[in-house]
Amino acid sequence: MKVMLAGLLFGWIILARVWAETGTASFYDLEAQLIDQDGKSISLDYFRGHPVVVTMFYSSCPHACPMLIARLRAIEAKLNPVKRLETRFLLISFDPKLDTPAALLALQKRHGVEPSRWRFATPKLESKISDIAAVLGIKFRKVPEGGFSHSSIFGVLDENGMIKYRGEALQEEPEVFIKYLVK
Amino acid sequence: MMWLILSWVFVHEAAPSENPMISVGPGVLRPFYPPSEKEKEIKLEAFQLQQHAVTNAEFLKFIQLNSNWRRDKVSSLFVDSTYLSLWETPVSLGGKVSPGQPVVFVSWFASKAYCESFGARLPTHFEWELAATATESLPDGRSDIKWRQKILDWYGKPAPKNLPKVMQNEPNFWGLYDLHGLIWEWVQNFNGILLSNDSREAGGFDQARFCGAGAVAASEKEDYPSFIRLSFLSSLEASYTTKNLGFRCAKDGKKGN
Repeated sequence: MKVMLAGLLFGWIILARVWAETGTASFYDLEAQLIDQDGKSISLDYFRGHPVVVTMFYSSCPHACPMLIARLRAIEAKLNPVKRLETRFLLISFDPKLDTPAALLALQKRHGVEPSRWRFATPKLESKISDIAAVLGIKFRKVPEGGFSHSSIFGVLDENGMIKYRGEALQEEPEVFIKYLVK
Repeated sequence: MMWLILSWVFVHEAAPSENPMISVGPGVLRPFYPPSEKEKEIKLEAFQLQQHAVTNAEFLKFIQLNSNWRRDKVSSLFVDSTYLSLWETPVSLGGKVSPGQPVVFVSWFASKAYCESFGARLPTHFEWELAATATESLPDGRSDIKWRQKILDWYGKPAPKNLPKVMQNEPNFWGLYDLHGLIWEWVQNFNGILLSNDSREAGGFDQARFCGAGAVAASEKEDYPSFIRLSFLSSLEASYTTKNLGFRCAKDGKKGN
């Protein structure tokens, strides 16, 4: 058993080494597992190969989060048709308790977004939430009376997960993010 | 499957015996900036905190077991360019640092990964502050003006060229060493401390709390050391590393204690 474990560990170290030697800082280096709105287990790099806008939210949020989704839809609507088909949207929840696949699916339907291009998801490991937030520069705090206090940031990723841009979701114009999506 | 086995391996590694977990609290913290009206007094459950800051020797062991955190292997997503830069090589300390000094030039990501490697975590800001309000003889010494001045004097001094080793001073009431006077320490929620509840709506960060009229929101106005720590921590990004910033790990309290 021990030998097998050591073998696995060794294999993992080798893999990790090859990974880092590419010398790039990819969002996907986080290697988190998520559960999406269809109840499927997906990895953080589910949209690898596509330009992605990624952000964090929670579905029971009364005001800021609907605005967040409206902003993302505005970005999508303003892309040219080719880019629109290419671009993906990944929304990661702070709230593993309330944001079950059913709650996320209801949110996707309410906003009428295209499920093949939009994923709403919750990290499997709660400790990954703060990792993802830290990489995106999102500040958040669980509020005792329920919900989360958080800053709203959109990250723009290229096909390999390189973070092209991080910007204030509710303050910057959609065109700012589009500029980085089409680069 | 591999992940399951790996997480089993990591979680079941014992906490390093040379730096045991010490029980702290339960206690009540009156935070410098209460995040909301309801949080002027924070009741904290008992928790565990490592006796002293994680040392170079301890961090080197971690690096030997987790080579993906070597400074020449790690993704620049997690550390900046000065990560572990005092060490002679990625896998040895060399002559410039000693094994007993606290490890510095570590990022929040690296600190968190270290703690998670044996099933621990970084302390929350409130936990750390509760532990740090203890003097050598009292659990809460914040009304002790002399003690507070001693801490302020340390903040006023430039960092020494060579950091002292850990555990050179008296332990505090709980038996913890060097919460003051040696290095700054990462906490789990360094980037969320100053968020007010209102920012759920505004989506922003409460800059006004730092200065001027905003400081009226402070409830423990004389606790200037706590304010200095808040400002410092809030200025960091998770990949930053500096010459006087290290960490120690925490765990939830043992059930039944």
